[in-house]
Amino acid sequence: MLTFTLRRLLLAIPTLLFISLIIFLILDLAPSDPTASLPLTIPPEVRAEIRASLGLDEPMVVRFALWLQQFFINEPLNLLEQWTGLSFGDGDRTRVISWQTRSPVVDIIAQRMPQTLWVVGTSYVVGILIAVPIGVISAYRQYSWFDQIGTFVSMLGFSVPTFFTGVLFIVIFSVQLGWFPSVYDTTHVVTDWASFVVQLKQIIMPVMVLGLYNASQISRFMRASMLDNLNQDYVRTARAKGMTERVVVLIHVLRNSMIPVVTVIALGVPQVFGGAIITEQVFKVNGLGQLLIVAIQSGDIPTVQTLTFIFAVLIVLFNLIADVLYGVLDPRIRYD
Amino acid sequence: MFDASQQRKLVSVRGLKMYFPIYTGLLRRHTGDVKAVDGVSFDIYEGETLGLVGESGCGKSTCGRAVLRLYEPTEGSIIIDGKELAWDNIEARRISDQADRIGRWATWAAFLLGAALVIWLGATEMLTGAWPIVIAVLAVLVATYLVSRLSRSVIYRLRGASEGVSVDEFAPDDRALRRIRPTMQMVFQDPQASLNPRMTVADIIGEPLSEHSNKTGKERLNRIYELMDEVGLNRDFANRYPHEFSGGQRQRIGIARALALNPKFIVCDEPIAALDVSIQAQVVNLLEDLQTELGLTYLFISHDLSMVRHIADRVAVMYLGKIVELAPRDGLYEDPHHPYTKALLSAVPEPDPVSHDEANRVILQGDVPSPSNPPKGCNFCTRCPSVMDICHQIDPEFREVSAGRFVACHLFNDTQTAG
Repeated sequence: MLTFTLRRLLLAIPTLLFISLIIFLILDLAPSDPTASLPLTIPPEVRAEIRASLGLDEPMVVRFALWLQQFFINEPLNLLEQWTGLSFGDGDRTRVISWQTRSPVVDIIAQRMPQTLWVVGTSYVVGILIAVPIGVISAYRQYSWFDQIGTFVSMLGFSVPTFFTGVLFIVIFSVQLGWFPSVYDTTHVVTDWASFVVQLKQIIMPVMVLGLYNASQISRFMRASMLDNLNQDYVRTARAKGMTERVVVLIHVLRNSMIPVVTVIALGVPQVFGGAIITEQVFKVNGLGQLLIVAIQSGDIPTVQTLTFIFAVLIVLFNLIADVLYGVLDPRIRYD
Repeated sequence: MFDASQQRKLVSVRGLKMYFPIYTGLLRRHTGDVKAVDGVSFDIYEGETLGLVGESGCGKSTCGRAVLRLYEPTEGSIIIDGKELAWDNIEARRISDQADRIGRWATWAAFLLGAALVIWLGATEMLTGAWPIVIAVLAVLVATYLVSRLSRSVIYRLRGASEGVSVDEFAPDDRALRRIRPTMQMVFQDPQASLNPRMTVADIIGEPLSEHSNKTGKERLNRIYELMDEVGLNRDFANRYPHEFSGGQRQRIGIARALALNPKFIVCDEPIAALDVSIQAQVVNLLEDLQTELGLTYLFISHDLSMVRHIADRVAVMYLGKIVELAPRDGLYEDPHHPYTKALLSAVPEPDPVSHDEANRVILQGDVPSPSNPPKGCNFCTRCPSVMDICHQIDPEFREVSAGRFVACHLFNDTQTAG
């Protein structure tokens, strides 16, 4: 298992370098211009100077090499210096700088990360917590009214986009009923019970909108996986042993059914970090998704490049984690 | 050799029917049944092996599973070791169905009533504060649980008393059935699929022990080792997973698992069908050794007629959900009565090439009719070589034609009335 993991990690390095090149090329080919949003009164030669000051006059290869050096050498060294207090070299290193804000991209990401993790992460956990029992009961009582309703609701959650459910929730619960605020306030600090209630109220709508979507996806997987296992012979063996239905379903069937579901859940985690771009926009959560979309709109190539690349790293990493989990959970799978 | 009259009946099955409903159409209406087992009766005496043979799809396995109550039988009585497992009394069955329905409604009623009460008390502010509300909600849940648990037995008692049905005549519910499970076990056909892939051998064998006995961990492990010795598995394999074993070894695990609780009766559902021929003999010999050693009673389901001849004391032949012939082994193989048995036995391959070529085989024409739509009269009348007019009209009775030999065929009704 360890050699497998190490081998996969080594293989991930060329993969990721290649991905970073592809991202860079796509962004370079895209007709976006960081000076496009500047006032039209600025003369073309000044624009050219601005572009030159951003380094855009250099050849593509040089810019890519510079980004590689900034991201893979300078930023990690900076982080190490911050964590350990040691200093490497003279400390005069250029960092990946956002063109919009002129501050280092990594710092902005560190600022935005908690909001996304709180809102999207909670919704993912809530989604799983809702989906697993629904999937189990739906499969155990296949074609019952519970299963029919569950199937209908998950079909709804699956097919209705979050920009619709989000706005619908705002219209119903914020505008009509006035129960919850429509805007997520990221500056809110939880200090006592009252402020916790406020936090709960503002987080509940984005979490439910995203949670419904996640839950409908995972509960379908859970149901299908349970159905696969419920008809297996070993389930009949367990019944013949005289196990209670609870043990049969929760120990024998559920444990075996969780194997594919856990990997699906693991593969979905990068989406959490990626943030739900649309839902963050609807509820004005200034997380990573919102950062990405604003960066794209204003042609902020370093930010887009860095963010997209970090998502790629997470996807590669969680693919590996899913594979390793499979090996841990299923004794039939060996990687040696 | 084996003298039936001296022995105690361990298993007694009467008129067992196992129908699987068919739902069709837009409204999923109940339009028919697959009559997998259609009125089967037999006895198994203590310490004997009853072979159950028949072609694929004739209902052998379904019959074996229904006898162990792995299915809910449609009709019939199953008595194992003196305990009724199904429905001897039709009235009891009716009351039980009613009780199930009433119990379900009562549970919902209790829950909804309780929920409504809590909401009303909350709305009128008679119930305030966190703790009283939590306690009230818990009380509703507990009450619902009690109603769901008790309603059935209360109805059994009340309705049973008024209809003259004693409580013993009701089939055991899930709880009671689980307590009976240790006396009856099953060895399954597919040794790969019937073992949980995520459990080690020790877990698989030991699970029934922790469920049905209160052995300590040490005693449990000793018993697991004992069982592994008994079926010829190396003790070192206790912590391995089923996929690490060969087919024969897996079937040994399955047998050890079945033996864990000292059962009296074991249904062997084609235990050798999925094994190599070289391994089949090993497993069958193991089953025989265990029988003499532990005094087990087997229902041996198989389509391998020579293997059944080797292991069984008596043999029952099934065709399309019904037993057509039941007889002591030697009598059945030497002088088969029923035309289907004759055809079946003539299909057994003959190792000697000369007699193989000369064998006078009965080749049946046509296919087995659908069990959802069996023919009128005798089930075998569509393919029987000696079919008569009466066969298309009346279903022959399953009757004893000579000592210990049961046949369901009009040919033998005639000889009886004539002679």
